[in-house]
Amino acid sequence: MKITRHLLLVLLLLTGLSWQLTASAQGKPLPSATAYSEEGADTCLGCHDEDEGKYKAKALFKTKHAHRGNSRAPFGAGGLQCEACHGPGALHARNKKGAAINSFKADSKYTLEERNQVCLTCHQGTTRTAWHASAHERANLACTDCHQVHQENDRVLAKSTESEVCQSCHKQQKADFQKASAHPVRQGKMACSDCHAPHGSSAPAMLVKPTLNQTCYSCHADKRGPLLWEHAPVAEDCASCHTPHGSVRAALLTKSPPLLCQQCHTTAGHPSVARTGSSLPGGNAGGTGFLIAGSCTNCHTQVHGSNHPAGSKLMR
Amino acid sequence: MRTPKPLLIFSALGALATASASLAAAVDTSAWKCSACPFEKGPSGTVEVGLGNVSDESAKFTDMSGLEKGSYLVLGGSARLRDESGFFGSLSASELGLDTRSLSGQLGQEGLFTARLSYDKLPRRFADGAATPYLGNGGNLLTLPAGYPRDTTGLMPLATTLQPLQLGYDRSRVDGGLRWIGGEHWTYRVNARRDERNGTRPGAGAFFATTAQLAVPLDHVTNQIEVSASYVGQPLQATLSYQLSNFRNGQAALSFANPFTPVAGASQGQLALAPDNEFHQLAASVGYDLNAMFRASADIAVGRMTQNAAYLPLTLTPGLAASLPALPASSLDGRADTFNAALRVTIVPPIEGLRLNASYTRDVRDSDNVAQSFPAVSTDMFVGLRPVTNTPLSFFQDRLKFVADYRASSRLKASAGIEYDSRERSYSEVVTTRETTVWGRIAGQPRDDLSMSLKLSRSNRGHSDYGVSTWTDDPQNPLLRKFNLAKRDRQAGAARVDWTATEKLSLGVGIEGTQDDYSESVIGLTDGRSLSLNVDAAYAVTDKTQLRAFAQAETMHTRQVGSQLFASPDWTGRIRDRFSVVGVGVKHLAMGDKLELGADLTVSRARSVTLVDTGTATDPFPDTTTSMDRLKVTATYQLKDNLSLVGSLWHERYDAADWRLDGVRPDTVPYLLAFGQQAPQYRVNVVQFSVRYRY
Repeated sequence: MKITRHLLLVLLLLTGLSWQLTASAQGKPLPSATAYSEEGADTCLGCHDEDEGKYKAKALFKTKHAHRGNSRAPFGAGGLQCEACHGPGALHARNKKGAAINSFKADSKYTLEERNQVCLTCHQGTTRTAWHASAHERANLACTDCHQVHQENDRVLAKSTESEVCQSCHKQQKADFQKASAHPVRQGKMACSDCHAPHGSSAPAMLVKPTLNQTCYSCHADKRGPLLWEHAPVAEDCASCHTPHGSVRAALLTKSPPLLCQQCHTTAGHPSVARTGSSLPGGNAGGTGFLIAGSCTNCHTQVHGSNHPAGSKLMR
Repeated sequence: MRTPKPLLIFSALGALATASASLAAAVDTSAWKCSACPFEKGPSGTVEVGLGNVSDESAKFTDMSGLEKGSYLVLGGSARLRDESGFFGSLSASELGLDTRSLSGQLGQEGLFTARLSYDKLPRRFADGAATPYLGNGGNLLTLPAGYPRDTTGLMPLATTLQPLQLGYDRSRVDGGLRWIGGEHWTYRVNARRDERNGTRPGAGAFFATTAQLAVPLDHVTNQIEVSASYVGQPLQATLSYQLSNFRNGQAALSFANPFTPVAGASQGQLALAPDNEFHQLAASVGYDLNAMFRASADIAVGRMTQNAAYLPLTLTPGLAASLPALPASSLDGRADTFNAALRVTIVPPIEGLRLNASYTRDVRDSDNVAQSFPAVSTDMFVGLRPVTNTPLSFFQDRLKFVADYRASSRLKASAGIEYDSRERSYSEVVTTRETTVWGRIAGQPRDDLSMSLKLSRSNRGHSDYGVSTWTDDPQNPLLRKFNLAKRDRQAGAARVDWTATEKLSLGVGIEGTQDDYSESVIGLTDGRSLSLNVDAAYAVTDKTQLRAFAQAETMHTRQVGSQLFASPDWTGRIRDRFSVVGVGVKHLAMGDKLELGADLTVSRARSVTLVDTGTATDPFPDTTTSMDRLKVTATYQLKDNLSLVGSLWHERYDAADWRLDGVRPDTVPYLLAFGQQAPQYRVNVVQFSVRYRY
């Protein structure tokens, strides 16, 4: 009987080993790539249980993706939990290979479009309606290039840190915000997304509003009008005189007056006069008041237009 | 027989593996208990308390930073709560001891709604060393003390009447929103925002040949509300929204006394301040996925801007007012309709790697203002012979774009596009401008550690017949071509290389340039060009120490031509701007990772050269320069798991030289009563210590 029992034991052992060897040799016994794990997130957290480091996953549970009460969220009732985004994980749970699952990393076996489509499955529409034709989509950006889904605080969603993410690619703008005159992005009081729609829009430079002026008016509504005496370049395009990200001169101007104004104002008389250094205080040319302090705006102070019935010259 | 347990387990696992493989097709989540999931429960958060000190006073430094000379309280923190029922809430606060304070909160019920509310303040400060003799600054009536008016600034009793003037305002914003999930596909949103600006900004009031800089009051309130409903499904997504923006100015006008001896009885003037206005917009967007090869989306928005503030009187000068006809209306009853529409199509044809995009956009700002004639009253002093008529400005823009992207391999992508931009304007020297841009871009990754891209573009803008506008102004020089209307050839290029040299070191370098040629502009802007070069690097010295650096240098040149004799060109003006910035940052962990050190150094230099050549010997302009060095050092020491000490030192040096401001006193020009503000120069140290507690 002892021999029989030992033989049975050996037979059982060999059976198990043979299945294992077969699995390794032919791949059949391993779960298919479309098989989900047995216990969902509990399976994943069996390994990915670190707060920090390579296998961190816990911070996700402080984010909206882990809202159990939201049936639309991955962890909502009936949700596929981690596998809602990372795809079927049974194979990965077995072979531990990153390639067996959608890691959302560049070296993933999934294409960029496939990775992004996972996010768009839920996040398409609203502000992402124009994503398909956006410059960022065409530049092959992955959602995870900007978003940190597994972080308690996604840097790109916080006003104070969003610009760091954007400026990791937009170097020119990073330098612009260091200039003497700039919107308060460097101070963390304004975000790039206050003006730009990073997921795409119809406006130039992916602005949040249909036009540049409408975008500017969302904060500078005092310039909106319509006014009785409108300054044509103001009504048409704020960027005629202002550069939005930063300027070496005051008020984000592209040039300083009087040369700024003299690009368009050439009527006979003082607008046509060339103001040189000889017009500076102590010089012999006179006309100092046309040059210093506010220059042209010393008199034509209403450069954005006027609603005064006597304001046609933008002096009232 | 004693069966060896490890062997039994090993055998069973082998069998289980095969069994599970056959069951993988169906997704049965009934056993997915998520018992190991560390869902957030109960409250958590941080509190930071401390003190800071700013060493010196500077309007420029305080501008947008809120840091003023003296001590301040460091107070901020955050709190979060989430319970089993699905209720969640959070609160965060920062810089509560400064004028840049912000507070934000959010609460909601998972799967049902989220409500948010925030408050944010931003100080603006405009001038160092400004002074004025006017009384009532910040209000809508500026008066002068005894001793005024006088013929010139030199005769004014400035020594006894000038008083320091702080020009600036505080902007505060309350922003709230409600997001409600209305089932599987619908989401509803209400967002509301209120912006207030209170304070002053620099302005001026002229009496023909004399003028004075004035503190213009700001008492602005802008209320905005946006309501939207969104449907997200497959293949259709759609959003319908309505937006209202309402601007109110508590000060309709600024009246100011004439500091100069009145001519023609003009002892007082009045500026119209930004009038109350409203903007309504109804917008819809829709996206549709026909199949994997075709996606389209479209937006449409219809809006209306209105403004109907009562007109101010043509003049405050009684004698002049009596001689003027009545205004044609009591207000503008201004209206401009906006229309914005866009259609975008993406097609993935059956050619591997090819993707096509096309879009059409139409933007309209159609003024319905009535053109009316007004007496040409000038600065409360006299009336011109010819009445002036307002010009309701309308703009119509159509843009068409085609883009083709071809991914030849995983390492090579080529793109090309053509864009067409047509604009029509009313009351303009040019009715129509049309610009065509052609561009190409190639991006490659010849090696795993190296990526490169190059983009080149060329555009050409032409226009319909160029006329001379005389609606509100004397005629411009007929040789003028305004730069936004003129024929223009633009060439632009950009190239970038990124190299991951080692696992620890990455480098990047980019260059961009643009050249504009206004070949038909005899008078006006004739050409412009810009060039910038940037370099950045990141180096992980060790696991504990990381370095990063960036640098940018750029130059921009423009040239314009004028005619002093209102004839052929007789002077040129050139501006050459140069700007460079270098930034270096380091982060280091020490003392068993308990001490986190960080330092950021930013050095920037700007120089603007103005050259005006009249063909005769004239004095040159001094260069306008700005030099800024900023060093920020922070140290965070973790006393316990939940308790840290934080210290920071911020040194900033700023030196600006500007011939428009430097040395200009209120009485430098006999006919200009100036603020006398100087270009900013400061050296400021900010020291801050705080304790951060996490619970």
